Amino acid sequence: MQEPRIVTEEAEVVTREILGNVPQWMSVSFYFLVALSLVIAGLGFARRAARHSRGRRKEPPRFDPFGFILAICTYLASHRQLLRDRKAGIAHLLTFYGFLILFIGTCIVFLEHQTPLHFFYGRFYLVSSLILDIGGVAFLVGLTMFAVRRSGERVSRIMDERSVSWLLWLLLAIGVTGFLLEGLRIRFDADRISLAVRELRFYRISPEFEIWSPVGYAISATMMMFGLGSSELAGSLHRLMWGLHALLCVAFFALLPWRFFSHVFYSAASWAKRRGKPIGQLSLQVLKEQPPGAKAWTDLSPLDLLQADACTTCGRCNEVCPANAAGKPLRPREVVLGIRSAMDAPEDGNGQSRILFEFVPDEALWSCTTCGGCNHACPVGIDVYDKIVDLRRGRVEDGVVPDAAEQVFESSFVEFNPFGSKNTDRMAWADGLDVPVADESEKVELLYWVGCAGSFDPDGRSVSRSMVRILNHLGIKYRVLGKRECCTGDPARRMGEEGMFQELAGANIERLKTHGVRKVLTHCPHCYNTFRNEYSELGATFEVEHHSQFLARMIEEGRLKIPRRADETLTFHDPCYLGRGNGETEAPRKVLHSISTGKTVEMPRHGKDSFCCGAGGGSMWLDLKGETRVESIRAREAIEAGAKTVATGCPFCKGMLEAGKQSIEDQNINIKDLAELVAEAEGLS
Amino acid sequence: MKIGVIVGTGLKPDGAVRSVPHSDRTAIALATLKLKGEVTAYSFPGDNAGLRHALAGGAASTQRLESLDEIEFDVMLVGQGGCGALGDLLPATLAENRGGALVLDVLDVEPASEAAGLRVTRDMGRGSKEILLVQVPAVLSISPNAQRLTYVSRYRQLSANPEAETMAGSVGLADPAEEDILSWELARPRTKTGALTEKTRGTAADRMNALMGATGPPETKDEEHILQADAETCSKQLLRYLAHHGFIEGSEMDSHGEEEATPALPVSAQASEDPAIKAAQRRPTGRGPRKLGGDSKTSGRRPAPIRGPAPVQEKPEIERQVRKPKAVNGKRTKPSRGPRPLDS
Repeated sequence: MQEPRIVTEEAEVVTREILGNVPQWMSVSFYFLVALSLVIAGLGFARRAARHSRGRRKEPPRFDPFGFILAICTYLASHRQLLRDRKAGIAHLLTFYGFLILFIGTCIVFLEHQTPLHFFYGRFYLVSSLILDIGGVAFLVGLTMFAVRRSGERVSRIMDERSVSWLLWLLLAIGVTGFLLEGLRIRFDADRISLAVRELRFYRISPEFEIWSPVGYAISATMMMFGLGSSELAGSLHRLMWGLHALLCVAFFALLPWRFFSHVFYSAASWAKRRGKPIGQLSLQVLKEQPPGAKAWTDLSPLDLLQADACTTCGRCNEVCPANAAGKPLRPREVVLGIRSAMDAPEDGNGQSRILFEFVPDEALWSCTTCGGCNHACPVGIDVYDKIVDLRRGRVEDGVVPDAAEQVFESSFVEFNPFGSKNTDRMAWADGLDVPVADESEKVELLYWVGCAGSFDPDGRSVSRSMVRILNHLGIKYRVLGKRECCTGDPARRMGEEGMFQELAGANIERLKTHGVRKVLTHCPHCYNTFRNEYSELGATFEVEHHSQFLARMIEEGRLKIPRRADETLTFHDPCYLGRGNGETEAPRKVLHSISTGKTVEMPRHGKDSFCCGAGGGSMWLDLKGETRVESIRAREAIEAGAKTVATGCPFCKGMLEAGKQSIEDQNINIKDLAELVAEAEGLS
Repeated sequence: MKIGVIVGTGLKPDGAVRSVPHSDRTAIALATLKLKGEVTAYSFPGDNAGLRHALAGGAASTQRLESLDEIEFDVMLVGQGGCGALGDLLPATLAENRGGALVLDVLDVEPASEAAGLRVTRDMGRGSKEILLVQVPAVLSISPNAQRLTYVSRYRQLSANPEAETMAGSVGLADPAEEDILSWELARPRTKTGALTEKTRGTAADRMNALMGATGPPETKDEEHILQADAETCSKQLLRYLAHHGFIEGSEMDSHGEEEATPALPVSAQASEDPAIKAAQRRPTGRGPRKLGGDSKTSGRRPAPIRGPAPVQEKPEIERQVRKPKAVNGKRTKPSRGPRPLDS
C-alpha cells in the first residue's frame, strides 16, 4: 500500500482519504477479486468470440479501426437510434451516461490511490464530487425508469427475461449502495477532517465542503437526524457497505459476458461493424465459395453471430413487424434469439452444430414480408430480415418450401415472371398504346422497365399505361424490352432461391449490356432496389431512377404543367423498398404536393417508418393465416388519416391496398399510383 | 435394389431445354427419398437438365438413354419429360424388355413389407386411388398429379455435375421471347385472366388460386393445346383414351377396324431419329400405341388392384384382398386389371 500523503497546503485538505476506513485485508481482497472477475469476463468474451469466429460465411473484408472506434463513440454519444423511442431512449441515456461518469470517477480514484499522481483534492475534488453525484442520480433515475417500464407500465414489447431483471436490480443495488457508502463516508470523515483541520489550524476549512457531494451529504445529514451521530457506528457501517458495494461491482464485472449483461459490449460492436448497406439490399452470396443459406448457425457470418449476441431483446422489431401486427407467427426478435439459442445449444452426438430450424419455425420464416422495418427499428443495427432470408435460403436448399413458393420459383424460371402468366402475354398491357419495343441489338439510352407486376397484374398494368402516356406526352425517347424482359429475380431471392436470382440477374444484366442501356426507369420499387443495389454488385453499371423521382424532376423542370390538380385529400403510402429500403421519401411527396390543391395528410406511420402493405418477400403469393391482414391494417390507417385518395409508388402496394380496402367496411377511398394521378392531372388518362 | 429414374425436360426440336416437369421431379424424389437403393438417372442424349436435376435431387449416377435393351433395373420410375416424344411407349417397352410389371399414373411408392415388393398408390382419376402390391422388377410411370415431395434448388441443380459426356446440351435460361414453351406440360400455372380494370382478389390465397387458374372465368383460348388432326385421328385418340381408362373394351376398338393408334403428341424430328426410340417404336408393348390383333401373351404382368372409390387405408385389408402377381420365372401371367391391352 502507498504511504499516506503528507498534507502540505490548505487545498489538500479538501479531499477524502481513499480506502481510509477499509482494513487492508478488505482492500487487498477487493483488488484480487476485481482482477479475478476481469479474468473471468475476459475468458467469457474470448469463448464467445471463438464461437463468433466459427461463422463460415465470408463478408467483404473491412479493416478500419479508426472508423470502428469513431462509430462506437458517435453511436453512444448521440443515442440517436435509441432515442427514436423517447421514453426508453431517455432511460438508456441517463443510465449510460450515469454509468460512464461513475466508472470514470472510479478510475480517477484508482489513479489517485495506486499511482504517484496526486490531483484528487481542492477544486478538482469538489467539481468531480458534484459531477459524480449527478451521474449517480442520472444512473438511478434511468434504472428506475426501466424498472417502471418493466414492472409498472408493462410495455408489451418488452420481453420478460429474468437475466434482464437481474442486471437491473444489480445495477440499482450498486447505485444505491454507492450513495449510502458516500453518506457514511462523509459522516465518518467529518470527525476525522475536523481533527485534521484543528491540528493544521486551517480554520477556514470545514467538512461542509462535502456539500459538493449533495446526495451523500444529504444522506449523512439524514443519518445524523436519525441518531447515527457516532463516528464509530458510521465507521462500522461504512466498512460493511463498502464490502457490499465492492462485491456487487465485482459480480457485475464477472457477469459481463453472460446473457443480457454482454450487450454493453456486443451492441456497440454490432453497431460499429454494421454493414452500412441500404436496408433494401441483401448481402451478396458468392455461390462459388459457399452454398446459399444457413442451415446451422455456423453457416452464418461472424457478424451475424455477433449481432445475435448483441440483441438487447428490446422488442422494437416486434413492434414494427407487419406480420406480427397481423397476428402471424413471426416475431423478428425471436428469430435473432433463436440463432443465439442455436449457438448456445450443445452439439449433437456427431459433433455437428444444431440446425437452426429447431429454433426458428418455418411458419415464422415464411411470414416475413421483408419490409425491413425490423432492421430500421433495431437500435443496435441488427440486420434481422437478412437473417430470415438466409434461413429461407437454407430451407430452399433443404427442399422444404411451401407449395406457393415452389410455384413462384417454377413460374419465374419457366415463364420469367412470378405471376404464373405466359411470357407471351407480357406486352398485353400495352394494347392500344404506342409503346416502342427495342430491337434485339438496338442501343438504348433510356429503358423503361415495366416489371412483372406492371405487365401482368391488372393493378400494375394501369400504372404502366399511365407511365407510357406520360413518357409519350413528354416526347422522351425511350424503349421497353417487350417480351424479352424477364423478372429481376427479386421475389425468388427474397423467398430464398438465391441460385435462381443470380441466374436471372446474370441474364438481365447481359441483356441490358447488349443494348448498351445507360439509364433504367421503373415504377416498381422492388425492381428499382434490385437494379440499384443488387445488380450493381453483379456487374451492372447503369443508372436507375424510380418513376417518382422522374416525375418530380419533370415537374420541377416545368415539363409537366399539371393543369388539373386533385381536389380531394391525398396521402402517400411509402413503399418499403423505396422509402425505408432506399431512403427516397421526398420525391413522391413533391409530386403529391404538385398535383394536389394543398390538402395532403400523412398517415401516422410514414416515410422510413412506414408500414408494409403485406406484399413483399413473396407474400403477394405466399401467405400464412393471421388474426387479420396486413393490407387491411394499412388501408384502415389511411382511412383514419382522413384521406380520400391514397397515392403510392409501387404496383404491389397498389394491389394490396386495393385488396385491403375491399376487406374493410368503409371503402370510400381510392388507391392510385403517382403515375396515374399525374396522368389524370395532365389530362392524359 | 437397383433403382432407375428416367427424367428429362422434354426436348424441343431445336434442343432448347426448359424446366423439368413435375412428374419427373416427383419421380426423382420418390426414388431417392422413399426407396432404398442406389439411384441411377437416365435421360435422352442432350437433355442434361433432367440429369442435373436428378443428381441434385440425390441420384448417385447418370447415364444416357442409348438403348432400352441394356438397362438393368429392379424399379424404374419414369416421368413425363423423361418419356419425351415416346410417351407411354417408353415405360411399356422397358417393362416388356425386363418382363416386369407396368403401373401407370403412380402417385406414391414405398417399399412393402413383402420381400422385394412395392406398395404403389395409383391415380384412378376423379379423386379415386388404388393401392397395389407390386413385385419387382417394375416400371412405374409417375402421374403429373403426384404430390410434391421436395424442391431442388437452382443452386443444387447448377452445382450438380453430370458425367462429361452428358454435358453437351445447354442448361439454363432460354430466351424469354421464345414463344413455344413445352406444349404438353400440364402443371404449369395458368394466366390470370380478366380485363385491365379487373381488381386483384382479396387474399393471397385468392391470388394463389388465380395463379393456379382455380378461380375466375375459363382460360383464354390457347390453340397450342388443341390437338390439330383430322376426324379419323381424333376418333382414334378418343377410343384409345376410353379404352385406356376402361370405359370400352379393346374389342370395341377392333370393331372400328383400327390399324394403328396415332401417338397423341407429335414426335419431334430429333427424338424420332434416336435409335432407342426407333427400337421402342418397332417393338410391341403392353401399353400405348401398338399393333392390333397381336399376341395377347406379350403383354406385361399386371398387378392386382383393389377397385373402389375410397382409398384403402388399412394394411391388413390390403394384404387380404390383393391378388399378388405370380412368381416371375420367365413366365407371363394373365393380366387382371389396369390399362387394358388394345388387342385383348
